[in-house]
Amino acid sequence: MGDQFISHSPIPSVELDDSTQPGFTLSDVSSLKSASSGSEHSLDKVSTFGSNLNEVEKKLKHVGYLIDEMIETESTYIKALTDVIEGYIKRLRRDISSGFNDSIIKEVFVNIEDICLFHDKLHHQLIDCDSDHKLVAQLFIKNIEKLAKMYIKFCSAFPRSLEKLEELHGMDPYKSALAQCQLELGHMFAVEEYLHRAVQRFLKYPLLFKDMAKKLVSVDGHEIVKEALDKLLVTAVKINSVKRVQELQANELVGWKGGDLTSMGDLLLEDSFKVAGAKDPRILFLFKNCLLFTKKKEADNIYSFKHSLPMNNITLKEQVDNDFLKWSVLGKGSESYTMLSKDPEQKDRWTRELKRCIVYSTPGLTDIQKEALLMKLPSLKNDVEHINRIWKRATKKTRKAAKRSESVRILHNTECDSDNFSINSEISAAFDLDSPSVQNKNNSLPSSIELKDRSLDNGFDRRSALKKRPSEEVPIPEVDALSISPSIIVDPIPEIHSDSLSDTPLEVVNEGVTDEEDLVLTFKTELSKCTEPEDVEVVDSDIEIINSDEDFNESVEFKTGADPALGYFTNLLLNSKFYPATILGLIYIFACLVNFLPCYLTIPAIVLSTVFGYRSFPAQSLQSQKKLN
Amino acid sequence: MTTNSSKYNITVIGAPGVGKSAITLRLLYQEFVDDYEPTKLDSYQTMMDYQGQDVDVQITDTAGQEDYASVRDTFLRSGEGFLCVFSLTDSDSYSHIEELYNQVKLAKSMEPPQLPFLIVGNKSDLESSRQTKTEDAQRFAESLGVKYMETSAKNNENVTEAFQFLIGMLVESRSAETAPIESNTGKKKKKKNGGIKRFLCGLA
Repeated sequence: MGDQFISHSPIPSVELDDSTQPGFTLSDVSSLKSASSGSEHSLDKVSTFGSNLNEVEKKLKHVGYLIDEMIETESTYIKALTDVIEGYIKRLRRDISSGFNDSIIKEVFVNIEDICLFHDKLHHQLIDCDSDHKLVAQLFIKNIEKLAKMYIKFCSAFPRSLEKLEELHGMDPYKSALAQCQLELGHMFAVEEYLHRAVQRFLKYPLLFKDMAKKLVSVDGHEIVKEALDKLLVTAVKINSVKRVQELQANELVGWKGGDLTSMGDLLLEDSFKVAGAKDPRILFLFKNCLLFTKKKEADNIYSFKHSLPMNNITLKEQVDNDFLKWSVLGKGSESYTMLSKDPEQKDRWTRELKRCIVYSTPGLTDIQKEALLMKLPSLKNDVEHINRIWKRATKKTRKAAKRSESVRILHNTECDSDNFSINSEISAAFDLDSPSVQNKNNSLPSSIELKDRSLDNGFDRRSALKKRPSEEVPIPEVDALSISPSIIVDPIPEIHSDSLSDTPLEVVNEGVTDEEDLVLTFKTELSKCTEPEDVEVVDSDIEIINSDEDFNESVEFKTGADPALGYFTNLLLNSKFYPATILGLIYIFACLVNFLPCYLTIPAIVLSTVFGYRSFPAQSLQSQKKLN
Repeated sequence: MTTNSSKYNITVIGAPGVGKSAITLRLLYQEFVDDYEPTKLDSYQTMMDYQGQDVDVQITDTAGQEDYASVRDTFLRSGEGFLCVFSLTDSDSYSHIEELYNQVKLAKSMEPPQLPFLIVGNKSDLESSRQTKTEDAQRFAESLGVKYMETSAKNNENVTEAFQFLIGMLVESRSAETAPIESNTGKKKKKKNGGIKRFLCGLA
């Protein structure tokens, strides 16, 4: 069982050959040391700036503590691993009566022996670094791939190992053999606790490096520490996602018939979104080769599969209704899903990652071309940060309103800035991989202006559309057989940054709260000034979407906010033609309740009020609801 | 898994930077180093006293695993008692509690009062920058059906008490596997209101 599991669990994207990762020897450290001896001088220079002296020294002292801690914990960790190896693995191998054979040992202890060997080496090298953070960082950068490979292997096999151990704990002779080992080692806790440490250990390095990087800001060596930290974080994410995919594959994803999930490439993102047209939130999984829509079953950790969009047939539309929380993806044919993110940052993270995936799955491009394409993607980081700032400043109550007013401003802005009218300012010319004729047609468009909605350009195969600012020309990679034309979608978000919003964003927010209606109205008139009549309809429909949020708030409730019975009585009292009779009935009921009148009088009272009440109820309540709305 | 009656596993969870490691270290070493706090030791074993009895406690500090749900899940599954820490000076960490609580509930497929879970508001020494009111946290904990405590790892306030409390829960939950679920008085009141409403609607 164990062998089968280990050998059949594919570990995506980590296919390193041991031979390409030679062990790190002492000579490496010494060469590293000599290489960085130059920078030590620069450190001295920094220190001589008097006022900075204390500051820098203090920081370096702290970093020294961190490195000491790393070394110290490293040795405790190695001790724990050695205990497991000596006390369990070797002993069980020797003792044939224990029932442990190689395959069981491999299943339970995975590659703990390799890990221990590696850390033993690492420990010595850390000591040799002599508390120099640059050397420590270099050491980790050099070893990161080996670390990643080992820990991904261990962490992904670990749940199975725990299961196996639980099984063995209930079965002789394994049970007594394990207990004997524990006793001889003098361990308080069972072997599981010690195996846990391996899972824990790797995630401690990023913590230590994070602290180091924080302390070393504007101190020599910050960059290299940061680089090591980034590499460690990437590895941590990878370990987590490999585990996640395994969990999904094993039992959490129901109804998926697309085969091995691990063949979808790395799991890059996972988040919950409201999707237009779906009542419950959808959990989206972005794999390198596929976007998966699932619905979570609340009670247990199970996801039911809804749709999947392969990455080679997906179009991302970053701008929907000019709302910086919405984005949508289009699949082949009429498949289209619009997502509502919870904040601008989330949208940015997803669209950015999706763009990368799309580019990388475009067939026929070399890696260099892909990189070049990605480099040319507009960097909206500043704008996203800007929007985020506004977003954070706005309180929950004002957010909705703010969102709307921002949307209006965005629209407004693009409106006035561009000579050509385009409400969504999407200028599209899709990458077309199949039909050159379409591409030709596309190229003949005057200066790449194509009006708005993507749903209109049905003529194009919507493959791999990419976003571009209008000013930037996308290079057309020259690949035979393929005709690729740039897809350009103007994103008006940069406009916010450059113009109106950067001035007084908070004012906009406040404006939105109080005069939302006015803003929208102003916007309408602005538009009608500068648009041709036939476009007004479209404009109106857009405003409706901005204003109503109807896709996402499906339940319509009593506007009074009070409970229905109360509302009904209020309606009766205010609107009923028969209200004298109703009031009489109510007085009767009240009187009966407080025992003013004998009980038999309640019966006619109830009959009276019910008859009159029912007659007047439906019409009245509808009217009043309309008024309230 | 072998579970010996006097051995317990406590897993400390919470958002990054709330003081998970500080609380743990405080319990173990009874000292708080302002200058440098050794942060990231892995897991700890200690002996604690519960009603005159020695109990072995293994404390798992989940620092560093905050962003890696799948990895953390492994620890949630093997943990027995959960010390869920947030920082009183960081409302984000407070709002994170409910999510953590749900994850634990799911991983253990248990609910309070069977689930040994304690919410701890740490950094009570920083009163001036407090962002979460005691009453709010108290009410929130009650709504989940768990207990709430405020600690200061720095001043060593309530740290041992928090762990003691959790151990008490663990000891009890082991001795009495099936504790009856207490009826909620709030529910009764609601029912009454509902009755009146229904009566009025019936009249109409």
